[in-house]
Amino acid sequence: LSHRYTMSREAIEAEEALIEKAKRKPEAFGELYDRYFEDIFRFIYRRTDDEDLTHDLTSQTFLKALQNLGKYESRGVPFSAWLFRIASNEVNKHYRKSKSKQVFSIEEVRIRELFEESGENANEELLGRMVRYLSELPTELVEVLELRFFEDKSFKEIAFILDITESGAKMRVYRALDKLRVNFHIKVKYNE
Amino acid sequence: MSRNEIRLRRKMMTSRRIERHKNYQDIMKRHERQVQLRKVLRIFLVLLLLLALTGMVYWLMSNPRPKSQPHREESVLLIESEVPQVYVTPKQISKWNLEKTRNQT
Repeated sequence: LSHRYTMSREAIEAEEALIEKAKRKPEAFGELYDRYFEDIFRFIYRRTDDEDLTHDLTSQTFLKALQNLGKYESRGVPFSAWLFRIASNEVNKHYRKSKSKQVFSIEEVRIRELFEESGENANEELLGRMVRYLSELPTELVEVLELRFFEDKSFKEIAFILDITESGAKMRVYRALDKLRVNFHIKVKYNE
Repeated sequence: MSRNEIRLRRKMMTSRRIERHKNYQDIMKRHERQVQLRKVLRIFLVLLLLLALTGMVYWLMSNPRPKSQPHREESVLLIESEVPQVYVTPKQISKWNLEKTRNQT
């Protein structure tokens, strides 16, 4: 499901060539900006639910990426994972500074999809229960669930984005899913 | 009290709306400004280092180190080697003093 796996070998090579070019010529970074702007914007918006703040944090993410592009090296995860990592750090930095509660803004459609996949009718009561349940989960578990089910990231990518080990990422996802299965009859995918 | 705030969004953000937030020119401008700022800072640091070095050299030139005197040290050594070291106890000193007063009388 991850971006890397949906990209052809040629596309990956072309992207790596583009990154190398952008390292030498910052103007070339524009193509990468256009390619990933929407994904990063949506990701930050899910973590803030504030359009203006998302605008600022997205700009900051791309600025940081541009400034540190020289240090970037491919580590078996797509370039987008590196951008998500910077974005995640920026969001966390914002919450640390503002000392406010972490917000996760989830599209109702996606939650409904999760229930429908399991053959359950997602009524208002069930949705409300899910929201209450998610708000009680530790932030790091909601974070991995969000990356896994709303961003469709692989375990390797989740591990890279959150700066944890791959087994740590798997453990967090399984722990969150086990809790979800107990409380809701949701069929969950354990595949890579 | 809940740990996180979970909000359900009824509407999906459209790509068109997200597109309105794109501003690559602004990012490039900010990047160039930061690159320039870094350059200025680097130049300032180099100048500061040069100034410190010049100051150090000037201080060393204006305060020359006193010349060493090897001959004098040698003579001290000679004297020291010629004088035998005698360890005297307080008892012996009082004995000598007693003898000295006896001789005087």
